[in-house]
Amino acid sequence: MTPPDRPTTLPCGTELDELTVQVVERRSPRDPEHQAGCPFCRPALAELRALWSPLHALAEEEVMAPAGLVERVLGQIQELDYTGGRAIIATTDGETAIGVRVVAVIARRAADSVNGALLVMSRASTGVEVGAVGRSIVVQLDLIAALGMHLPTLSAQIQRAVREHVTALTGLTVLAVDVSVVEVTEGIAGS
Amino acid sequence: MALGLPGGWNGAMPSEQLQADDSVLVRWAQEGHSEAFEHLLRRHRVPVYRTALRLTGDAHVAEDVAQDAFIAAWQSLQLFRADSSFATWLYRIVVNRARNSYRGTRDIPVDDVPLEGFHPGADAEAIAREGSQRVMSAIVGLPFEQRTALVLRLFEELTYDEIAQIMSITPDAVRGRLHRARNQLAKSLGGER
Repeated sequence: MTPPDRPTTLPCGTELDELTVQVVERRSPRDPEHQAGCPFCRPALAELRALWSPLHALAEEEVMAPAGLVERVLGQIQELDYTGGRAIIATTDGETAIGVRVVAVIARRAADSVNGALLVMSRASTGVEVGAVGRSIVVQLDLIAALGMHLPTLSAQIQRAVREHVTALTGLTVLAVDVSVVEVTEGIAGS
Repeated sequence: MALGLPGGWNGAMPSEQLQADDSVLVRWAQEGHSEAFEHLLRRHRVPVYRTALRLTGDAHVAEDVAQDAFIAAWQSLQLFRADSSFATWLYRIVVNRARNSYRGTRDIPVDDVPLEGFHPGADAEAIAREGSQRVMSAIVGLPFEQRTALVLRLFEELTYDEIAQIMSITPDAVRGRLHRARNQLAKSLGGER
């Protein structure tokens, strides 16, 4: 025999579905005074809270992203985006090719380390594009700076740091470091 | 001798809490700056992975879904038109990838048919507490569209309008799916008490 359907409305007139949504979504009651004193709502609410408490416990569990997720995604993106642009250093022993992306990373890391540079985007291109050949490089940086910094001074510090470190680590000739300050902000929160 | 970078740089990226909003980072990422996308990735990795985990119930599948979703986002970033928030757009991709993970690997119907007999994978079982595991099994047993509405509402705390955007349905349809999801979940949870 099929059991009778459960009533959808309590004897006090309150819809069970309304109480269910209230409990499941942890909303405030529409009529708190009634619920606090109602002999039908109170046990119904107690039963619903017990039923749904495991769901709430699951919702409160902290979930951490897997270690290495970001790095794996970035690795795949780099493979997808690799364009093959590179600078060449020729010696009597042979040639060394350095991808412009490598130069861009070195430049960005160097610029990041300058106090007042909050976020740096870097691009590099081989000197061929500006009329030089082989081992010359041009670096372009977009920058979010800390509000209150003297921007020409900050830019000069970044240009010096980038030029020094790209030259030291790659042996390439840095023709230019172009800095574009695209935004200023209060700083870094929560760190 | 190894040459160091200035200022004691230790290989860490600048804080992921940088106060540049998503729209600025998206604009830069659309211009080809993968560094900007890296910030978006770090900022959204937890909700993306958590959504994938709650939709699939399997840590390994969720990791693949999250990874695929971010790569798909990068590849289609030029199509993002800011008529929704970046987060909403990203949720939509995650949901689609999670749906495809069922279609691709299990050949299980994903809409309006409960996934009977499916249980979370071994990793999820290992890390979940018993109560959570029971709930997770019940959630994964819901039809995919009901499960999506429930996960986005209860775990991600999105509004009905946001869920409607993500699922390409009306807010009333979201209410309907949540209603059915609650009813089925109540049966699953109540039946085991």
